[in-house]
Amino acid sequence: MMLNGCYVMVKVKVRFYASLRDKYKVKEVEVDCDGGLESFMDSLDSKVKGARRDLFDNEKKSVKENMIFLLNGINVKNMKEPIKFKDGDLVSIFPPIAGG
Amino acid sequence: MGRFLDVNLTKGKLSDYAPKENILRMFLGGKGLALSIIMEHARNLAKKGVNLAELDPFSPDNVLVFATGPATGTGFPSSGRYHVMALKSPLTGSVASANSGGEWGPYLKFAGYDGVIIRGAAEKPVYISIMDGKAELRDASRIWGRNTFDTTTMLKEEHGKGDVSVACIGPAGENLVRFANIINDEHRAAGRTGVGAIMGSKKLKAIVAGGSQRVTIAKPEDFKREQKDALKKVKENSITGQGLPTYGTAILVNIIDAHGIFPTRNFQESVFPEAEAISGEKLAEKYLTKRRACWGCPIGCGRVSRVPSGPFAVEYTEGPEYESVWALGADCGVKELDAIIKANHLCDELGLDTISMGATIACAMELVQRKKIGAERLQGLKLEFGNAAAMVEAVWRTAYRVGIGADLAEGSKRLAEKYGAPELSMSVKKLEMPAYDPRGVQGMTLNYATANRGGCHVSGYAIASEVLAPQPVDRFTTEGKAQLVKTLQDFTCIVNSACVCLFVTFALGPSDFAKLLSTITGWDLTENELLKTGERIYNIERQIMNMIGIDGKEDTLPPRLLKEKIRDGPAKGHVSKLDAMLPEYYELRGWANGVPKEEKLKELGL
Repeated sequence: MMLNGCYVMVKVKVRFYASLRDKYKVKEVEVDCDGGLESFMDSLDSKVKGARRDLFDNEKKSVKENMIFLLNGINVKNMKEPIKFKDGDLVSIFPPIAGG
Repeated sequence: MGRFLDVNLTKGKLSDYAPKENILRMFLGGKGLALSIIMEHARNLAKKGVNLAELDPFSPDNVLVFATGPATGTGFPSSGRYHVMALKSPLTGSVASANSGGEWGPYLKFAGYDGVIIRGAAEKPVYISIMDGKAELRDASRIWGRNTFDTTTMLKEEHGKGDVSVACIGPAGENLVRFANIINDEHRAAGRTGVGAIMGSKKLKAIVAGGSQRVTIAKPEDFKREQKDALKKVKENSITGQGLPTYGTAILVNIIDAHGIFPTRNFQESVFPEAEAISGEKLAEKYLTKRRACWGCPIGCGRVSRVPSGPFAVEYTEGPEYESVWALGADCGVKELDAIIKANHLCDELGLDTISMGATIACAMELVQRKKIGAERLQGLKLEFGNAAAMVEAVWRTAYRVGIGADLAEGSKRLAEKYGAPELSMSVKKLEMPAYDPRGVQGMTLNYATANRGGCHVSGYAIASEVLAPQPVDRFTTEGKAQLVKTLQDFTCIVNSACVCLFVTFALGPSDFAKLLSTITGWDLTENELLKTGERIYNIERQIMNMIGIDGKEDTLPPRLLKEKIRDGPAKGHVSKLDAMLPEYYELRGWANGVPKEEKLKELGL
């Protein structure tokens, strides 16, 4: 994010669930990024190999359609503005699941 | 389709009943056909001068209908289901409705029948045996008092182990617990609205079914083609092909909690800090031993679990499903998954609806928290949020109506009324709401309020569109939700009348159903005709409710959800905005104050 004309890195907590947890063998990681989605994905990929490929749609520059990606409990696909991460944000990522 | 066993328990008389072809096409089967039978019964009672509003659900005049659908047992993906309906639920006082999977539905068809109508009441315990087209009433004194597992084992031993299926009640049904269920195949439940207690009141312990009768398919070659296509869709869909088979339904715990709509401590909070400890992931890691699919199901979401040691040890059990984990877990503030598995197992064994059981215990815990239930009534039972052992003990106390269990057996609404705080019952039309806080998902607000059977999530499962969809609709807005909920409710009537699992709708839509059902029935069904049939079924159910005296006054939610904002989490500050959706919903339905207008009934041929 920009602060007084300078880029400031933010820390974001990321939690994986269901098959993503099994695949990545990790429940939770913390990543540093500049606040934008692509920076977040790059940073995440450096800690969790393959995450960018699984989660990021390179053409649309957005979260892949089949993934449920919550930023502080809100589905980013319902956000009208582009994603901007803040320090201390929580991201929860789920593959397609259901129940009831 | 079209052969029902009509049993009059008072007279001990069994006969066949065949609905007319036009009735079959109007109501399809399953839930729809059961409702048309119940409507006829209700009209006959009304003609005799019976006041339906005052009719005791435990009276012999109540009627109970088991119905399979045209899809049951055919090989339509996930077609191992049947529906149970009754004129009056002992819990809600309204129409009773429940649905189950397992094997019993197909086995009833293999026995040569599409459904069973139960009228009157027996003097002494009986069960019904239906074998290869031959039905008889038998003495059940030997199995009366037994739990559902023993009952199933004994009847299978008597009638032929692997070749029969048993639907029965446990002690809870015999003891008229108002939310007692019917258990088939040991762990599958026609769970809601107390249909098991109606069996108990009629002294009907079980129905055993088996045989080798063929299930009729009008166009077998066309069916095979459509079936192959549908199976491919189910296998390739990420939810039905991967998510549900791998993790079962309890995988919802974390995602619903992460959205801040996981009701906690009787809906006082909406985030459960210990959700991870009771999650589907934890279940798979610690207790899952294998999967168990219902008859003909390519999904196989059922879990087999084992708690190897400790005070809550269980050697073999199935589940727990998501709603049960929530009700016996977060709603009671319980974070011990082994205790939840044990309580879930007891509910299956004793014949109790896990949702109403957990939610009623949660209601009691809040009554204790607010000092409405005194220590003298609890006799040392520490019915406090988070007390896992007390939660488990409350389950068997309820089934046998022992101590405080006698109050719990009445359901949360009557319990809360008795102790002077009816507003603490988290129910709609006296049916306890399941595991989604509707304040943070407005489609569920409208669905819970208008679902015919009461606080029901699966009448119009808006969660699929508002939370689980790849491109979800905004869960906080009220816009567009009236149409969404109406469409879901109508389509679900088709699913429950065809008698297939609701989960296939993640992969198959109304047009797939139209194609498959056309090949089975021989009718040329279109998507539009099916949706109109669904609407007709929703309306006939509402029509019967109106005859009982239930109208729009009961299309509402507990005051907590309408007035108290969610305290914390992602949905903080939200309330259920029912008023913003209900008028539009009534308009779309052609209803006035919860009552279908004459022109709507005429349009639907009702």
